[in-house]
Amino acid sequence: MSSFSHSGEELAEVAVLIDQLKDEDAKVRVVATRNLCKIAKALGPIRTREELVPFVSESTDEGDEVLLAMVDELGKLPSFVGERYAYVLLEPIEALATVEEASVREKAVEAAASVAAAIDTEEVGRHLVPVVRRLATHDWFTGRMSACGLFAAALGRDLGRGPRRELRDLFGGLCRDDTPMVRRVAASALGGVVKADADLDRDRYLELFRSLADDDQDSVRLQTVENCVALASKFDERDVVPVVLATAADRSWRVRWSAAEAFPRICEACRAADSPALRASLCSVFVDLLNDVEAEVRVAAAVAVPRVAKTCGDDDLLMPSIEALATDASQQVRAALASAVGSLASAVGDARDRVLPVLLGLLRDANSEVRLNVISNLASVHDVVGPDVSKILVPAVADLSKDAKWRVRAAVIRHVPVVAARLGKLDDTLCTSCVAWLADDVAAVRALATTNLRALAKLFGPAWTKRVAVSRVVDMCRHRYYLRRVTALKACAALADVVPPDALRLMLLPAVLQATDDQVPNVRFNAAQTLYALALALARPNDDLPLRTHEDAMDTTDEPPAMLDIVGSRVIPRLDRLKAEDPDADVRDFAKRARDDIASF
Amino acid sequence: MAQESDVDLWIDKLRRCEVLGESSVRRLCELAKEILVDESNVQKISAPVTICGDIHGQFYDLLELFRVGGDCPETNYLFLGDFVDRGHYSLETFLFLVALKVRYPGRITLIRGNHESRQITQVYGFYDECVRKYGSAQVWKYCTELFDFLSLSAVVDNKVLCVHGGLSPSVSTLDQIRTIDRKHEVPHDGAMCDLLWSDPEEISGWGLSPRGAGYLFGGDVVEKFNAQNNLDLIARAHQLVMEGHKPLFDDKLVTVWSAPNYCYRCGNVAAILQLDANLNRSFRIFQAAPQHVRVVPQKDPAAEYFL
Repeated sequence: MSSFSHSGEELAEVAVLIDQLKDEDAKVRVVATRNLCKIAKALGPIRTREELVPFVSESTDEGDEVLLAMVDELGKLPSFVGERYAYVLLEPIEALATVEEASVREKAVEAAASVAAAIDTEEVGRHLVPVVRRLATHDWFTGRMSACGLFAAALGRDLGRGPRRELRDLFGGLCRDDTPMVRRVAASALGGVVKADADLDRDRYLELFRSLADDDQDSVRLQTVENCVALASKFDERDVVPVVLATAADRSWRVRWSAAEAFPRICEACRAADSPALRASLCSVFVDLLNDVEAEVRVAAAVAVPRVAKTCGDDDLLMPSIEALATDASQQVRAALASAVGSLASAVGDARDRVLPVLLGLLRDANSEVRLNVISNLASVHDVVGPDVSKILVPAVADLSKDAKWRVRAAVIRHVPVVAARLGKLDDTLCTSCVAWLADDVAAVRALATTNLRALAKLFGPAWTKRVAVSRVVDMCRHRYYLRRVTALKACAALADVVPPDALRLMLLPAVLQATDDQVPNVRFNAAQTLYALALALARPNDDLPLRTHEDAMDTTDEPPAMLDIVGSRVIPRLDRLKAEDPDADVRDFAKRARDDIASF
Repeated sequence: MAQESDVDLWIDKLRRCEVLGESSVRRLCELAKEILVDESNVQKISAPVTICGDIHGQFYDLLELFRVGGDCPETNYLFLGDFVDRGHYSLETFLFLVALKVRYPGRITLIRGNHESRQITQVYGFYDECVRKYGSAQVWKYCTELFDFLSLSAVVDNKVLCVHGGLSPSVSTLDQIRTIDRKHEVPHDGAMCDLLWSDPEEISGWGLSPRGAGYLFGGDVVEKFNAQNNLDLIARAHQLVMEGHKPLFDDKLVTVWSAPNYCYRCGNVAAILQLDANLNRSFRIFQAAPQHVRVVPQKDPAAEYFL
């Protein structure tokens, strides 16, 4: 038996686990139950199905924690019970599929599906179908709810005609169950069942679909949209579309919201692009959703706008509603439209000219989140605005970077490298701002500004960095406020390996060395840390520097000084002095770390 | 310090709002005691420093404070007490600050508030939180023993007195504070109690405090105390102010409050007071951390099981 291959120690461990399955302490039983696979592996397939599985089947009156662990493990057990025997696991799973705790039942349905997949075809009729039958006709709604999740697994298999018809009848019964909870789960299972049922009985399923779409409970109707998507890809879209249209006009806003949310997928599943008539009817319904009385529905519709416009849009129909959304009373709606407006340009084709005013209006929105969303989707904004993009974007970025909310400032700074990469260059105002952001009142913004500056330096190359950033950062190393000086030192560290060698040697290094004499200890220990970054950059071979522009090539022609010597002659002695003589313990500590790190490279 | 790497691990863990094991808490508190025992009742610190008021277990708002003010050790901090009670994360808040203190004793100063007391924490949540998170009161005991070592006040460059509550009629000089024996539970009256409990008020002289401990003190008292001790300013916390900070008595006293949306419902903003190297004052206002950077408090599964 395979258990002989285990070492004695492992067997002892498993023996303990088996004992713990029966422990008095529920916590111990949970842990042991989580190891059912391990136990099964040690016992081997025969003892697993003859002893372990029956034991588990008898232990289903446990607490929910144990049951959750148990059902998880049962789903993984098929490979441990021996080929052709996976069905033995159905017994405990069936019991768990009827318990009161919903999370256990849900997991039981998942486990049953994975066990069902492992069952041999000839065993499906003998073992799986009876389980589905018992659950589907269970007295309690719990069992019937669980049954709904098993039909797809069973109908996907090669069944005889009799069992197939029986399962369909059972499923139809659940779709008309007295309990709304059961109908809701049946409705959500319908799409999967239709997909799985190989030998499709079209009319029957359409009838179920329509009756569920017409249910008096909105939680049941809420499943309609997903079913539309599933059914449209298998059936004639003309059977499905009327139901979609009804759903979009449902009396419950949650149902209308679900329609708006799924609308692009519905359009694609219905192949709306191919039929002008279909396009027109879908598009007019979508316009209704864009004008819905509930803001939530309008938000979902605004998000869906670009994809819908692409597949079934009629610009003349859509644009007036889109223009109206741009001045919607709800800021959530405007924010959603702002995120979508960029990609709208390529979707609407001829109405491009009408998108630009919408975009500009949103860029001037009173709410900063709305403006930010426009900028956050920059790649596509570029398509709308064309070559004049910087004229429009730069003022908006500059404006947002002064927003009173620091999270807005942070978000816009985070987008600047993307803007810059897209534009290929930054104008002088924005360059100045990028350095000025290092002086923000909020530390988190200053940290982002540092990261941003490094990203831009990498993008635009050493000469740009030297021209735009270095002298300003060096000036800031002498700012009267210590937190500014600390930020400036962090910026020096961030720029060390992206500035030209002469700027590193002649500008950054002197400023940082000077900072090691600062009166504030925080500045001195940050200077020590920055010295390490400078030393790393100095020690790097010169030709490592990325050459980006002609300007850069000119800069590096000056004779390469012995950069490594500078580390030895200027950096290391300074760190040694700080390490030995500084009155502040943190400065000595950070200097020592920097010194040790330099020694190790 | 041999345990430096341990302390760094604890800081990382606490920064994620995870509790430490019981034995780690004990060791952390012992290390902190060794540092705090040497601090004066009027701990001398140098500018620049950022002064923060009550935190009250609002851990995620403390992280927001550090986002706005800068991380420790980059920024120097002075916390005016009331780390615990009322919020959901008193334990994580207090231990996080203590761990920073142990790791960077020169960069952060913690002084005692009226809630750093055995009696008060049994009523306002810290005791219950410890018992809920550990199943016993042992960790609460370690923390309250450490409370006794916290300093009572601090003075920045000999010019700014920092104290949780305010002045006391039995104290007219800083030296009188220095002579207090502080290493015990906060008493019901006397100088030590008053420093942690008193409130400024637009009155002249001294008044009875509606809190039942400490006193109310007027502008003339502050004027006289500052003149006698050659002070420019008294910075204190202890009272919710909706704008986060509130100057009083011709800028000779300021209240700093650092718990935004206090008790998760007051709707106030919070502030920290940044003193630069020349003691110039600037306030940074901040709001409660938005929902997406918070973690919803979890029920403890172990506790659920044994109920």
